[in-house]
Amino acid sequence: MELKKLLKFAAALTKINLKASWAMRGAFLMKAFLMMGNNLVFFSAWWIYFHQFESMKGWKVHDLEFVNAMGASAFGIFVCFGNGARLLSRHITEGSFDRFLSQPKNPLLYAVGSQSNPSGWGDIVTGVFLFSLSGYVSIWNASLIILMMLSGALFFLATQVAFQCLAFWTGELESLAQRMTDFTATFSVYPNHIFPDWIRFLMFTVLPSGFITFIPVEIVRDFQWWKVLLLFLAAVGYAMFAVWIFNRGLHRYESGNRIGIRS
Amino acid sequence: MKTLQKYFAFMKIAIAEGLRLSPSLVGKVLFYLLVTYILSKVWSVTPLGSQFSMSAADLVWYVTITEWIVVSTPLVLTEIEKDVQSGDIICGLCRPMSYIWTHVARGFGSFLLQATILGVAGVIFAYCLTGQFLSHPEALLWGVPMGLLSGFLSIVFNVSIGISAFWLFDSSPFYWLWQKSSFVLGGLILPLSIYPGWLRTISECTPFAAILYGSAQTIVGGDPSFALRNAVILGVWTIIGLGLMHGLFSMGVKKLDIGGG
Repeated sequence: MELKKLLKFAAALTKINLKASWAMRGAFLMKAFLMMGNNLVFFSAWWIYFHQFESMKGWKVHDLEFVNAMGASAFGIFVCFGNGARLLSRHITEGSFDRFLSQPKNPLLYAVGSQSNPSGWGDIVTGVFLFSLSGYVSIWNASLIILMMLSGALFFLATQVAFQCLAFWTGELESLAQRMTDFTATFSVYPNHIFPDWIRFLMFTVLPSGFITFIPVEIVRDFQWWKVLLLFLAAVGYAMFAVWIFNRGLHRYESGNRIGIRS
Repeated sequence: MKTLQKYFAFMKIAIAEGLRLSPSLVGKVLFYLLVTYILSKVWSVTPLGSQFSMSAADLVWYVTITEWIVVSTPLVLTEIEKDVQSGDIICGLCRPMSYIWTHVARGFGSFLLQATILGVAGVIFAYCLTGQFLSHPEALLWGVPMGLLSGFLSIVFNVSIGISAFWLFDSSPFYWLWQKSSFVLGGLILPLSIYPGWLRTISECTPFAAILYGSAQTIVGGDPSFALRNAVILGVWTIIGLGLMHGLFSMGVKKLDIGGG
């Protein structure tokens, strides 16, 4: 019953965000289209690399296409549906979190879903395009890939929420939290196996880029059920940890009595 | 001279502001070292072969220098965008100094601060990664000023993109495309020497090749004639960039709708 209410509320927030984005159609399409162009231009460096060098430690261009597709689409889903997470620390330190607390809705879900970035649609379309080029997608694994995209988005969201919520204890942290997301996104588009063990440890703990792209590409290259189970259990674990940090931090929140108009 | 003093004052203010926001600077240094590390790992596992003229160590120094220029360049366009969106631009336009040159001066001040700190961090880090210094250390004498000129040119184009906010209110999508184009056509990760011929020709028709590849290759390659050729190309693009910036600004001011207040 509680879960049903949460899902209904999440759907309502999504609908409002989509309506708000679509209201300024020109700006929406321009942002989405230019973000797609941005991603493909950047990825072209890999096409140039593999034109000159056939492989990178056993990985070919199609593996990089899949990794970048997974990273882009997961990030796109995160910013389309959970962009409010990137403002949590600002709300906490400015005392403007009250509007999320004063309504009979889950405050974390409300805050996270309060904003959408239309450029995320460009990331999602880039992901779909690169998936189609990679050759790893088929009718048989399409639903699994969609689920992996959603779990990747959940990893991005959970990491952002966890870092932003440290502001309950430390004060303003927006730029540091944003840097952590940048680091996660940066690591997620490179092959995991070129890094030494201590970096790979980081990529499966503090910065979960290994779960966002490396495990999914290993699943499509060599499908085994334990890898799928590991991925989804890790996604749930990260999400639960982020919620726990938020709830602990909320006990310390002090209102700033800030008056403002919600846009 | 008095006019220049005003802009030097803005540069000093930007440097002082940058030093005050030291956590942000630390984050930038960490990001720079992280990206340089990742790219050094990519080159360490790449089968270069004997036909490739640069060694793995040279390539690590190459990406250290290209990333140095890119990460040191501040996002001046976001300041212009904020001014347009909030209406504060009217205050900027009424001042007894050029609005765009104020932003160029502030941007260059930030760039000088960041380039100094990132430059020192980059040299130490690249030495630790490769175990050796640059093959031609004397090239730093002309390479570093060239890097600073590259940063100045990047800021001029940054301001030009920011001026597009006069029409569009949001110039960031164009900036993303510009930035990624500079990465690919400027040889941020891969030196232009390994590009297919047709793509290299296209790159060399853009300012990006001179800003990134030219500056990095000047320092890594150590060829004075290449350095002179690149300096001339950077000079030409600087004149073009300044002309573009002024032209866009003149047109933009006539079109400007003031928002906020």
